[in-house]
Amino acid sequence: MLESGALVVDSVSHCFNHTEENLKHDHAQRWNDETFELGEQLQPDEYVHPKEVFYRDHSVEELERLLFLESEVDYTNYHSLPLDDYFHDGLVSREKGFELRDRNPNRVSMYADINPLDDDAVEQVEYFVKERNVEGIKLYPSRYQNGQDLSLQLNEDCVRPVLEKAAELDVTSVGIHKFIPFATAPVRYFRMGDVEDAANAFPDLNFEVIHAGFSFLEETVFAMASHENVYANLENTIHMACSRPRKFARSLGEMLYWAGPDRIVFSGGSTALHPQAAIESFWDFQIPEDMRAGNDYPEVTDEIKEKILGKNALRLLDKDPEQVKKDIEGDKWDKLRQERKEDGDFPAEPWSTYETPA
Amino acid sequence: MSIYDTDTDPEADLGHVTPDTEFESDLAMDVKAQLREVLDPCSCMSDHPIDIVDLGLVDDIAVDEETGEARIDILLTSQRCMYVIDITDEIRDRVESVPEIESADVHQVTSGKVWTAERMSDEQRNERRERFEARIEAADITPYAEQSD
Repeated sequence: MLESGALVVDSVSHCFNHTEENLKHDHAQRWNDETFELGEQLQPDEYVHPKEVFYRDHSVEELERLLFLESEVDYTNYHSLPLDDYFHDGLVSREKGFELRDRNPNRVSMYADINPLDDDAVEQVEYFVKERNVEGIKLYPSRYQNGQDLSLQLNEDCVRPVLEKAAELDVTSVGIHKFIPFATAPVRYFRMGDVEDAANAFPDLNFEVIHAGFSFLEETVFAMASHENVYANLENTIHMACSRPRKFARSLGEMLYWAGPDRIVFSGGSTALHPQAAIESFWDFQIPEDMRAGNDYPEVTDEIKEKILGKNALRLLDKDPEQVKKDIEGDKWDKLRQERKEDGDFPAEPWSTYETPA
Repeated sequence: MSIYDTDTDPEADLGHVTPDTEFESDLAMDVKAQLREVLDPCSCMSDHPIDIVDLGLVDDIAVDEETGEARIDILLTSQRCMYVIDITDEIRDRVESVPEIESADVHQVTSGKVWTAERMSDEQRNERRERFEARIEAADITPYAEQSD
């Protein structure tokens, strides 16, 4: 929670499994390595995992301590990942997400991964929404199958029934990975054209484009400015506030100028990145004066920061901030935080609460 | 696809081959002319083809006029670029088509130097922005910041 009392809501957390036993595809190890390197490039040194912490099957208990003791995150939205073409458990398993939510029902929402090529993909949407109460679904733009990279763009016939079912069930949001290409999937899969088509076709669904601002910025800004149901999810991007401030300033400045501050959401990127690194640097962030003057970018006020760090996500999830505050007041994490604050140990040192302490 | 500071960074270290770069050697100029024929595969998919010199992918050109050997250093937009083999092959084929060139070696810069949008030629960057603004105008979009005034 911020000093102002505003909640910090993390719009993407994962519980990764980076173990050797989990590798399925030839490029899976490279995927893990590049994720580690991304953390090295995007974060201050003190927040970078020791390798023995990173290359393991992160546990639910570790993730909740990371979020609620090592960072100021009050509420998180867990996304499972459908990457079972590269990793045996999909890289971020659903079951860990459900366990995290079961352990912390007042602090966790969940988007379930769906592979539209599964024969029962539509039934899976129905099951996860109705039986497991997920608030959204998570899609990837490509899948590796039978030796080929298959396109899973949101405007394709195989994806449409999944979106139709999601709309029918009043799903809050569809999270779609974009902007960071992986393995051998063609770059065109990571662009925005299909999101615009889907946003037009399904006006009652919200589309969160994950890693917004990392690349294809002008396409992203256009989609946000022309569609009220397109949101920028800053997973990984927001860590550029501490490591690539001018690139981040340009991405944020363009979004704010063209689309405004109400459809941009913070993500901490756990467990691949450390959420507190992003929270602190974003709270201290300001667009450099020369960039503001040359581009008419607005000042990033505390009000805008509170929206991006929490208020927008709660609105997207249809949560009342005051109710969330009441629900978490005095819970296990609130008490532990208070104890640590009295000892001057909140937030705890990066990765210090892990089973393999840093 | 760079994660590094982009076209607004006044302190970015460039030092690469641009459309305006002049070489004392006529042979190097001939090699550069061939490189301007090599199109970036990703830009072709976006319907706005850009050659690799305009895009700022060519980091250096070196030629040995006595032996006819050429070396072209390229810095890709991402070290993960899957088209590196295609780009490299086309560079080699085109450069070796210059009569005085016996062989061409293509090296990918992996020193840690990174491609930024600032390496694009001014003309290409301006054209890209003009396309964006034309699209905004055609969609009759008023910037949020101006709506608030």
